[in-house]
Amino acid sequence: MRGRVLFAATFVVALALTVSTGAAAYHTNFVGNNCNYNDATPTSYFTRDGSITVALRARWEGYQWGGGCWNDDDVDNSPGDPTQDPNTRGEGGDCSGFTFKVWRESVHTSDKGAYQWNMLRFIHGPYASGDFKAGVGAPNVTYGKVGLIRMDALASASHIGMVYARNADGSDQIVEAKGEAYGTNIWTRTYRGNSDYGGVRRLGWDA
Amino acid sequence: VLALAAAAAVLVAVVRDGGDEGAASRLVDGSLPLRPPEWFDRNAVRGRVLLRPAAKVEPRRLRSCMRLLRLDSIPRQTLVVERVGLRGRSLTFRDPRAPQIYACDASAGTREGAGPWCGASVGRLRAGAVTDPRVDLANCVDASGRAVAFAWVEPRPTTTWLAIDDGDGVEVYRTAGTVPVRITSVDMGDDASSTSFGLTQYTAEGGRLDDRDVTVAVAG
Repeated sequence: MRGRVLFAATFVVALALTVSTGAAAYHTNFVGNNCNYNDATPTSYFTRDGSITVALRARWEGYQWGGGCWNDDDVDNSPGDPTQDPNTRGEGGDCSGFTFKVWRESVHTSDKGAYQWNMLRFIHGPYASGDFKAGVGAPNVTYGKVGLIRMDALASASHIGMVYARNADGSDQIVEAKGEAYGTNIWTRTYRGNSDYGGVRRLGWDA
Repeated sequence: VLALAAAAAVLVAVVRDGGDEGAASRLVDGSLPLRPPEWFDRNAVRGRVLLRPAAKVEPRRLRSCMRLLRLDSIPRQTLVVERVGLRGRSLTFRDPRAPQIYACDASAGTREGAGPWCGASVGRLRAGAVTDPRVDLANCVDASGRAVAFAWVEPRPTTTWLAIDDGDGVEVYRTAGTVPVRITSVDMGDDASSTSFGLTQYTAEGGRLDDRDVTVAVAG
């Protein structure tokens, strides 16, 4: 009996230690351990298909508020970070950082050019979702929702996602950095019919 | 409603900035800055702050801000903080119906678009504090074309004065109760999505509560 009690007590202590260690270790510092600040490569030819490729490399990866760096191992390497904390340095972009990188934009808002950002390059870009929604930045314009095609975006004051494909029922498959609990992926969404969302188009595609 | 009105009246009386005008640079609206408390560096610039119910705010200004934020209406008693500073002016107000806070930002110029505002931000509140500084820098520029970043700074409960040093000068802000202070900075990070500044918080009598370097970045 005493042995069982001792075992149970040991188990509880061990469990408590495990839980507290886990809670303290939420900070994976993915950015510090994996990401870089290398220059972007200007690209004179860029396509919607190319941006789909960029987006799909981020699929199944994490989400980081204020972030913009991920690998391509199809795992969220920083799960369960506190939400809306830009200092947790976890894996993934947030919705606007992801869009900025997939649309291959410049950090200079007056520059319409296209720039290839490596997925491990930590960059968010100057635009929050509300900026995209308002068409802020030389490459970005507001656009009627009816006419949106793949890799155009739907943005609200607090979120943005890009059209991956249109569904027959009028909804869209949206590729987006959705949230800490979800990561980055493709989901069926009804943003197009939601009055909080407006259409946004990145200008300058070659195809 | 009466309690709200009474609280508003007290707060308005407390934070209506009508101090002596300083002699330094002009504020963004062309007016002279106020004189900061004497313990500040003599070159520090103090902007104006006004806290009043939405019903008392210049209607066109508030309406254009609400349009930008896609808000159909806000209660007339909602307290609105109006700030006019060296490089920017702003409206900040909490949503009494949800844990959210809003800002509309204006600078001397905008990169594009007309209207009084160069940007707007929606922040979430957790336990009454903003979860993110909601940096807004994509479209706001000063008179010389430099990017101007706006961000919320959360004052401590006993803070009356904030000083922001962005390397281009020190701007002094008077708090408006515990409402996050919408500050400006022109020290942009190399990635053009963050800004850095020195933040010092003081009590009403000049006691230093906090002094640190802060870097905040665009998110969401």
